Amino acid sequence: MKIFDGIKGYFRNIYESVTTVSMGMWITFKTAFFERKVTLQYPSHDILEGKPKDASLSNKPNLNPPFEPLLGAGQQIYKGPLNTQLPERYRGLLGYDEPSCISCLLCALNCPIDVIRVKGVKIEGRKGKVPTTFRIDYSKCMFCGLCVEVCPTDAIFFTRQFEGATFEYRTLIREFISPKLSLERLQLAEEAKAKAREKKEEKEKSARETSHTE
Amino acid sequence: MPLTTETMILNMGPHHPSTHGVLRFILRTDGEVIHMCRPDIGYLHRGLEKIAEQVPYAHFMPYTDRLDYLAAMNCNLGYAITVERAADIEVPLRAEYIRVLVAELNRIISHLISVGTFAMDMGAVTPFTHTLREREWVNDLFEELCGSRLTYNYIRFGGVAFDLPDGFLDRLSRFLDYFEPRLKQYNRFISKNKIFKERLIGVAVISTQQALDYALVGPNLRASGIDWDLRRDEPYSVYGEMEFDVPVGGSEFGELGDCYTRYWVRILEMEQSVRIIRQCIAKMPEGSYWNRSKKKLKVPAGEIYVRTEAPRGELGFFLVSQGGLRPHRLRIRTGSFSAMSIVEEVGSGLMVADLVALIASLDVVAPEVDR
Repeated sequence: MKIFDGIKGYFRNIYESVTTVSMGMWITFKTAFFERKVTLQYPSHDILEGKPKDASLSNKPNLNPPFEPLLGAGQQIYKGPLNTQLPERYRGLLGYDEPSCISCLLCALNCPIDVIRVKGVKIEGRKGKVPTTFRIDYSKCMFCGLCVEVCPTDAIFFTRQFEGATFEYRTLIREFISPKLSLERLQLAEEAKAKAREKKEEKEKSARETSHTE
Repeated sequence: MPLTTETMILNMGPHHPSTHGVLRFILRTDGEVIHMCRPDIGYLHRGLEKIAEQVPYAHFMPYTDRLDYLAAMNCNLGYAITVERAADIEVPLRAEYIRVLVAELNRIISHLISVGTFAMDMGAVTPFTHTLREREWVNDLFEELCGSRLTYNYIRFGGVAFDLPDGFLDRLSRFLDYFEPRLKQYNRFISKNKIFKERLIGVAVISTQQALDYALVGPNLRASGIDWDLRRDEPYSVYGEMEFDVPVGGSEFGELGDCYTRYWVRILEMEQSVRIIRQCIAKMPEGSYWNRSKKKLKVPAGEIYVRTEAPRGELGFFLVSQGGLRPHRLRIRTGSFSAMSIVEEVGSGLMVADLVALIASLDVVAPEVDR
């Protein structure tokens, strides 16, 4: 009897192997031939159209792609090719809107790895301080979003740009305020300071004189 | 003259497809049989515990994402609960439900990776592509929720960073409707596959006593027959209100504590996670999602240890505060580390190919081992 069990078991093993393997094969077959394909030929094809974007472009490898400057919120933002599919809260590279920045330093203080460097001066005719330096080191940023969360004026925000790959590190350190503008502002602030000092001195002088006459 | 063979020292890793990260095993082999197997860890040590002492409490949250990158939400949750208990911060009910929802969703995708890579290590490459396809959908949902696909940094002290977007729960239910039949398909595809079963049943058995001795946690512990799940036995957040079963390994699927049972427990856990998420969707209350405080967080002096159930088992945070803006010491206890320690005992005596099965079934993630 034992020998029959052994033979039975042998054939059962074969039967089970064949059926279960063919079951797996059937699922693979079904997925491969009858289900919708989800492969997206990302850089060369348009995602929505499913066609090559520009034949002349897709054939030529762009050896040193220009790293588009990030512009302010009100201005036109670089739109990545996946732009239409990215959700609203997408965390891309950080963007900066200079006119609304008040240099409160909250973003710099809330960054765990000191990615952001801000300096500001007080100038007449604008609320808060005016930034003279705003530097983001994209090579260090870990996209945690703590700076965006605390910004009171939404001056720092996430863009939808994610294609930040470059050939050199230094291109990833971005100054958002040009040296010229920075210098102008520093001079303005210096003049304002000097004016204030003169005023103060005059005041003191007049106060002294008045006290002298008394 | 008796036939003798010399034993050979073999380095497995640090770069080996089966080690899921950077791990090294020093093997002393006699032919195909392993005589000694010593895991050499530390290749991914980033000093997270030291970083925690140098940044304010809230700034350590993005670092917990990197603790276990496959289950960032669960790590966020563990750390948030630790600091909340220490500093006595209240969490709105809606936030609690959102937290449980995202944590279970993350458990599903973490187990999907585990199941997929396990099958891939055993030579079946197709299941991996299938599991990753499902994971993409969840990643899209997370991206919509918090803007990121892997390192979420979503949970904050006193709530969560964003409210659920419009129509999120509908899209989530649609995913669950899609996912449940897929899970059954996996069972037909790999779990019930004769070759897969023959390969794994009875391989690298961890007995109940061994599992206790080496302090295994999570699915690995439950696969060895111990009914212990922190979500049920020490409920945190709103797990106390959820109805779910804790799958425990038994003899009905192979041998107790073998590779196949560890795999099967994960499959069953995904089903339970789907159940919990459905309850969260049904019960989701209205209200505030973040009890946000404008003040700088200061934790009163003292010590606290909080453990939560992450996909890889207990994730414990031991926080020592001296009342400042930063922790005095933060010790992190992870499931992968204790799983790593048992490899030396169970690994000796196995074949080299079975060691791959053992590591894959323990579901070790290298950054979590080294921290």
